[in-house]
Amino acid sequence: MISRKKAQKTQKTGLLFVFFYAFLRLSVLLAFFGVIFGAAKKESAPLDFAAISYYNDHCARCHGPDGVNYDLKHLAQSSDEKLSQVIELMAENQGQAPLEARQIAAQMAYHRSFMDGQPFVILSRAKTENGQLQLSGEVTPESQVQICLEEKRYPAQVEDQNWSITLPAPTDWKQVTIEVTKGNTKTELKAGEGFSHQK
Amino acid sequence: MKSLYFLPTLLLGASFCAADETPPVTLDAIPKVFSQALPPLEKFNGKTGDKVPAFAVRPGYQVTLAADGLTEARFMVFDDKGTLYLSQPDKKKGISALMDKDGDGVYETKTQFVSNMQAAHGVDFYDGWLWFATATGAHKARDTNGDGVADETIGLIAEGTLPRSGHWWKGLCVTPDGFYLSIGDSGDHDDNFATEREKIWLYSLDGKTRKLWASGIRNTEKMRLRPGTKELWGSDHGTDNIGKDWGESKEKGQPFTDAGPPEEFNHYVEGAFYGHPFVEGNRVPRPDYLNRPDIIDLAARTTPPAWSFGAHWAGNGWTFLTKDYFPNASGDVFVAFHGSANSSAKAGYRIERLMFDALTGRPYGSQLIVSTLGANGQQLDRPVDCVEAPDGTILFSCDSGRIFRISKAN
Repeated sequence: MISRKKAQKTQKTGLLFVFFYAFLRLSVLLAFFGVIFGAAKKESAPLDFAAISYYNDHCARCHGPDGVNYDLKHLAQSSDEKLSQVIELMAENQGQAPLEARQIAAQMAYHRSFMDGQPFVILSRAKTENGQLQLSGEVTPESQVQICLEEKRYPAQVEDQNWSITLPAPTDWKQVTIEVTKGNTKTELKAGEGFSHQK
Repeated sequence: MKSLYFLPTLLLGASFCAADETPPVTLDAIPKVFSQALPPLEKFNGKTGDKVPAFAVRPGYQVTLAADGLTEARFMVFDDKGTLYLSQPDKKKGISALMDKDGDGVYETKTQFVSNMQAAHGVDFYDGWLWFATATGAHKARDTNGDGVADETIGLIAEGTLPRSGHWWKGLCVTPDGFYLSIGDSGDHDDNFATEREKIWLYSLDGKTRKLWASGIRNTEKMRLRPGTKELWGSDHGTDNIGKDWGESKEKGQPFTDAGPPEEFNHYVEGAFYGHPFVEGNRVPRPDYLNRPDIIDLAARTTPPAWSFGAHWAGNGWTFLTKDYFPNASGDVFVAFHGSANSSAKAGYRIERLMFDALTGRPYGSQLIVSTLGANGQQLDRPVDCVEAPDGTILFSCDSGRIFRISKAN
């Protein structure tokens, strides 16, 4: 026979277990949707990481400038998960400069630009001051950068992998589009997304 | 009085009792061992010349600066006139020709021997030509008017033919029987068994035909024949992160990866298999392939290394010594170790002498000659290749774009 006290305790433990189980299920469900929505949502802030400079300093010695030593067909066969793992490991080991999650995402995007044969572009800084908007970032060298704002186009200055421009400030800088051309290839970046070639 | 006879017995018994009471050894009582720690270098007081970082140099040797300002300095070879060729796998570069006209050990003149050749790498000199491999092809070039710039270049393997990506650094060794060319792994330990990768090929001297020489290699960046023989030798890099599957992490540390697998120095025999990516070092299966049904068969067919160096040391270039300049060193090898990227503490970063037994022609020991790590373990430079100069001194190239010269201490 189980005493009443003991039975109450068992009941309490059982209830706790049910709550805990429900919480666990809910967390898994939330995490699942988090992953789905997170993956679908593109970044919405300037990228405070010079992905091209990082690549030049830590990767280009072996992989060549702009990934010229990669076998792009081989690279394209890698799943996003595998690419992300390899970039993380290579950055930490061979690159000797570990990367954080958003920086890895930016490197993945830069690598997608190699596979797509398109110029890569980053918006690193957006600042409104005295009615003017200052934008700057990185771009695949030897590209032309134009800023599209209210049906007007403004050519940006490009030096090596850096671009910059000062414009009359719009009401919302996130409405600006950055258009990059290199030869007959083109990339468009909505300023609010931070960097191109995100999935 | 009689009881005194029992005293030793009692004491002995007491000591046994004390032993019984000693607690068993616990894991916490055993200190963690850093397998990659440098040996004590206090006695490494060999001289370093002007503009040479504070390398630790074995007594009896000295290190001086031979050349500077050579970005992307990689592999080196001398021709029969004493010109030193250096590959620089940068798009705008190619291969430089350097000369030490006054014989003072400083290479004061430089010409651009081959230009606009992306990813020039393995070099060798044979029959009046500078032979070189790029990431995806192979060529030979020569200078017929003596201006230090190649005016004749012949393609042997067309650019774009060989697989790039991953370990694209093609090693090259030219012999009267043809040229050997190594093609490395597409990744760290990819299964490339059924492809042309992870193999050494023997090409006809015109580059038109090839046959498989050896397989199961990972990344052999330089091959040479042992002087006076047809034996092909090379240094092969081991894999990274072997302990990942066993649960290694940043928090737990990486004791498996820090100590293994070894870097291999191999004698590449025709038809032989060197185990990669399935079996490493002295026939130890890589964990990723442990469950292959043919793992024992693969091990049985694996030729173990002729010599093993420390894990992740990254032996890139090396040279046999053929002259009598350094005492009792003819027939030995000097290896340039680029240094680790995958161990907790920096390992490698050195020039190591591998001693060969004159009777058996096999390695029997190795010793540190120059460490390019500083007193606090910081990286002073990363050696890439070693070459024997016509005067018997040894040159080694480094990532910093410098070439250093090892000579006997005065």
